[in-house]
Amino acid sequence: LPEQVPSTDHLIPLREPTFFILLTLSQGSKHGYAILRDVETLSEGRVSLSTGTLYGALGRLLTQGLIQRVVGDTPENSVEGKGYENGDEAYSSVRGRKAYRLTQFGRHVLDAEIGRLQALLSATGHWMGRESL
Amino acid sequence: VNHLERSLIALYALLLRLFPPTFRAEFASEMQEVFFQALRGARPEPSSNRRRIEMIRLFLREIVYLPAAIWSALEFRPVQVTSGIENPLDQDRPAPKVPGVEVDQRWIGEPSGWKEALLGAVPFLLYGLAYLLIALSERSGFYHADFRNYAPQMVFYGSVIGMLVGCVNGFPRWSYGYLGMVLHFTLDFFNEHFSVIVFGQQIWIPVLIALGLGLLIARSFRSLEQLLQGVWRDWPRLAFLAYAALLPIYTIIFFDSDWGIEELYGLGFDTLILAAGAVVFLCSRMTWQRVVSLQVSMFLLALRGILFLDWSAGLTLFLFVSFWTALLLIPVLFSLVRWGVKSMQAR
Repeated sequence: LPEQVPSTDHLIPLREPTFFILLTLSQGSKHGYAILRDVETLSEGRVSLSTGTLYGALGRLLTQGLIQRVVGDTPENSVEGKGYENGDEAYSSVRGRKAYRLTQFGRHVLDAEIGRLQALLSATGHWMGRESL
Repeated sequence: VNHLERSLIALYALLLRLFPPTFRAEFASEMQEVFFQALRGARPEPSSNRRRIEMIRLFLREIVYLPAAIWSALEFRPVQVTSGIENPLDQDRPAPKVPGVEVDQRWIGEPSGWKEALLGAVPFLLYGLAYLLIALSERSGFYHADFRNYAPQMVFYGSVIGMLVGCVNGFPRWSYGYLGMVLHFTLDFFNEHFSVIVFGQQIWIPVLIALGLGLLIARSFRSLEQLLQGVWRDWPRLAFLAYAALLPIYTIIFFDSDWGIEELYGLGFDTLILAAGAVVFLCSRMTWQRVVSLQVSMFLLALRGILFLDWSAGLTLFLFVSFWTALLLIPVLFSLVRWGVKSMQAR
């Protein structure tokens, strides 16, 4: 029997920061700082999350089952190029760092939101096109 | 790590103290690490003024978004961490949402979240507010005879609604305050209440209707079973129920006919103490913490009575509080005896 996918109706539409967090994680698991940085890059600087906002959102997404926390190194957890220097270990336990990734349900929610946005764009294009005729 | 970085990191650690304990336990170290990385990533060049300004901007951003972040953190419930990403059984599985699981956890003494704790403190705050309104109306000359009945009725019906919501949700810990307040009005131990004067024994009717409605919405008698099991597994809940049923009357019993300004301050102080006792009780995990929270609250009520009332009235209040303090310890003693018996059986 095909697995029943829970309804996403109560989660859609997503707020912009949530959307960008899920979109960032759609490329693979990431730790907190990588998410923070990628959200800013993806949104072209419009969405700049504080750590409090980020972890508030991550906590909510964990509770809702949209993301999952994993322990261990991921490619994104690499120390290179992430602002670490010798002697910074006091603030970062790199090997035990926790990363986040999308669950199947989270991916389903993200797909539903992308579909909704595409439908909006399509309707807008259709309407504008008709008006311009 | 330069001096400014150290200072900002230390201040950031202080900010983290404002988050709820469960959230902090889960994320505080990660947040500190990410904040540190953000500071490190903020520099165009080391020791430049631009870098300092950027670091301060990052810290200010944390402060600006702090209230929203704390509000969001209140909704967090701890979830199990997947250990390692290679376990195929754990991959891509949505967190299970099983109805009733949260209620079951709360039976066995899991601390309530901040929102639930504040919800549990509402009846105490409403009670104090009602009498403050009465007192202020009397002092200001806008007194209306009916208001003396309406204000407590507002508390009574508010408590009945809280009890109804608690009934639908299987009587979680926060709902015991509402139950206690409903008993406070319906049993009217001190023959004080107007609601009985207004309603007589009919005051039980809205209570029974709310209970019936709660069971109807829940479509089972499981809520009542959960109420009994909740008390059986966690006796201090009974102490909290008694706290709500018996203690609020002390805030008004000695001076409800003479509202001087000291009495108004006293009423405000007592109300906040009672509500704070309820919040700490609901947020605490250990039995001793919960018992101490109620005891400290009562001790402060008594102390206030001795300091600000005349000596004989203060002493009377102190004796009353001591008596009820002893009474509230009975459920805890039950709990200890049961624990002792179980320990002996285990040997």
